[in-house]
Formats: sequence, structure tokens, C-alpha cells
Amino acid sequence: MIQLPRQFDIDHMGDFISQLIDTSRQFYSLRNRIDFSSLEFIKPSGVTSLANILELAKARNTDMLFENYSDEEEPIRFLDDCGFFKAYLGESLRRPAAKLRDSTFPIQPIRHRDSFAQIELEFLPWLNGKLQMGTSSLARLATCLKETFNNIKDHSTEDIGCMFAQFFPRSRELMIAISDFGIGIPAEVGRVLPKLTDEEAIERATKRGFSSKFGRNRGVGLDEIIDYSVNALGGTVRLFSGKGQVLCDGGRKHCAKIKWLLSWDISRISVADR
Amino acid sequence: MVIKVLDHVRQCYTWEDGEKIGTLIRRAFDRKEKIILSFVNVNDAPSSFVNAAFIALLDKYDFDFIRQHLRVIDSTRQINDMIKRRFADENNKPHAA
Repeated sequence: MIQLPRQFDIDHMGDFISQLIDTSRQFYSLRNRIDFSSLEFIKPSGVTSLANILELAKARNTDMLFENYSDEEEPIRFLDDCGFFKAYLGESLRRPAAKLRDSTFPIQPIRHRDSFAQIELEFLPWLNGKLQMGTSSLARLATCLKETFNNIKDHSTEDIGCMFAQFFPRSRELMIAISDFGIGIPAEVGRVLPKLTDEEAIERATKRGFSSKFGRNRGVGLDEIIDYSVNALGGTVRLFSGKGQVLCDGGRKHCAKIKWLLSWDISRISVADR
Repeated sequence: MVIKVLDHVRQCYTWEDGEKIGTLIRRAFDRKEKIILSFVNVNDAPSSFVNAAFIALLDKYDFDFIRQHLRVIDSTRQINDMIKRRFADENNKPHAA
């Protein structure tokens, strides 16, 4: 049985994942039991990471069984209210059905072919209801999301990104977490600059003009996300890929702050330490 | 000649969407025609779409020709900025000697 960590966030998910899969993203066992009993707190990055590994398990025909997930515990209720158990057990835990929290955009795995509709018809209307900014003001945010999903399509073998968002109305802060199982930023950057550490590779990938692609389809995704979230809105972007992570934080105050947590290739975290 | 992009693609999202528009533009350019591209009802366009629709034109036409033969209307600030930015990035790429 594999226990979820007490605090499930971007800093603690590596150990959990490395107990399940190897460096080539193959599961050690075709039948795994996940123990929720230790879980005390889960952040959006943990929600998407957990969803991501479950999607990978589906793709690998691997069973993932949940144990000790009492809805009397707050983190379990939070997951239930985020749509997690409905998505992965087929129904929410509580009767009547858990009411989706108004402040969260429910966790969902999104295939690229569905991503445009999800962004335009589900996420942006939800967000507009919170921020009251108007769709034209959200155009750049929409672009950032679309850049991310296009990148997942271009760089990931699984073509699924798990997305979750939480809005904090008092601070007018929005946290968006997107995870996928791509080959990872360091591996992508390594194709053109092979001698960088994982962290250096991530930093390089955020620089305007840099691309690991050849030809005309050079993306501006990470640079655009950071420029918008950090420079325009005073938010933060945290990129986690391979064994590296980079935090971009402008620190200025604005009317709405956006935090992105883009987890790339989380399968490789800590595996080298085994 | 005015082309409304949404008459030809369902969304301005992917490289494949952009390729369809880029093909239309190239056909007009091959006939030395000027094109007006309308983004009516489009709020934003990511880089993959812009790359295929516009930047790929640089494989055959130089920037001056494109500027003289292509106009974009009914667009948003985000779309205009993305197009400008991508052309600027291509212009700043180091060229082989």
C-alpha cells in the first residue's frame, strides 16, 4: 500500500510518484493501493499530480485502488468537493452529492482535442464569474492556457493535461495547476543545449526567443505565461520538471494575481535517488 | 479580398488551424493579390496558429511583401501583439552567413 504524503503539494509529490513508477514511466505493479489516511492537506498542485498519475495508470492498464478515504476528514471532503472522487470513482462520496465548491474549477483530465471547448466554454465563464473582468480582459489568460495545452500536445506522449483551479476571493488570487506527463522541459531543452542542469534548462526555456523546436513553429508559451502572470499581473509562476524547479515572482501588487503551477514530467522526480 | 478566418476554421488554436489560413493567404499571394484577414468573433490566437498562418509565409515571401499584401482587421490587442511579436522574433533570429 502506498501512502499519500501528509502535505500533498509540488514539493512532496516526487517521493509518492517515485514509489509507483520508474524512469520510463512504467508502473512497478499493475495493481496499486493508495492510502489516503495520512493526508492532512492537499494543494492544487497535489490535486493535479494525483489526477495525472491516475490518468497514466489508465493509459497503462494499471489498477489504482483507494483505501482509507473517509469523508469525515477535511482533505477528503475537499477532494470530493473538487470533483475528484466523482472523476475517479464514478460518484462523489457524500449523499446528497458533494456540492462543487464555487471557488474551485473541478479537477479534470483534458485531452487536447477537448481543450479549446473546455477553456472557452467552461473555464473562462467560470473565471469571469469570479473576477468580473470581461472576456476581452481574459484573452491573454486564454492564450496562456492554449499555449500550455498546445505544448502538451507537442511534447507529451499522453496528450492529456490535468487542470485544476482555485480562486481565493478575499485576496482575489487565482491558482491554476496543470500537470502532464511529457518528456519534460530539461529533456526538451537538452535536445538543443545538452549540458544544462534541469534547473538551468527550465530557466532557459522561459527566456523569450528560446525554443527547442526547429522551423517556424517556435512557441512563446512559457515566456508569454510569465510575462502575463508575473509582469502584467504581479503573480507567480512555478515550473517543476525533472529534478528542477523555477519560481518566477515579480512581487508587485495588482487587482488580481494569478499563480500558475505547471508540473511537467513529474514522473522523473526523485527516481534517480532510488 | 476579405477572408473571415472563422469561415474556414472552427477555431484559431492549433498549427493545423493556422495552416488552413496560411494556405489561403499563399494562394492569394501567388496571384499577387492583396488580402484582408478578418478575425471577427475571435478573441485570441496562440503562437501555434500564428506561426502556421503568418510566420510560415516567410518561407516564400519576405516581410515587406507580406506587409504590403496582408492586412488584419477586426482583431484584438492580443492577436495583434502575438502577430507582431512572432514576426519580431523571426526577424531577430540569427541568420546563417
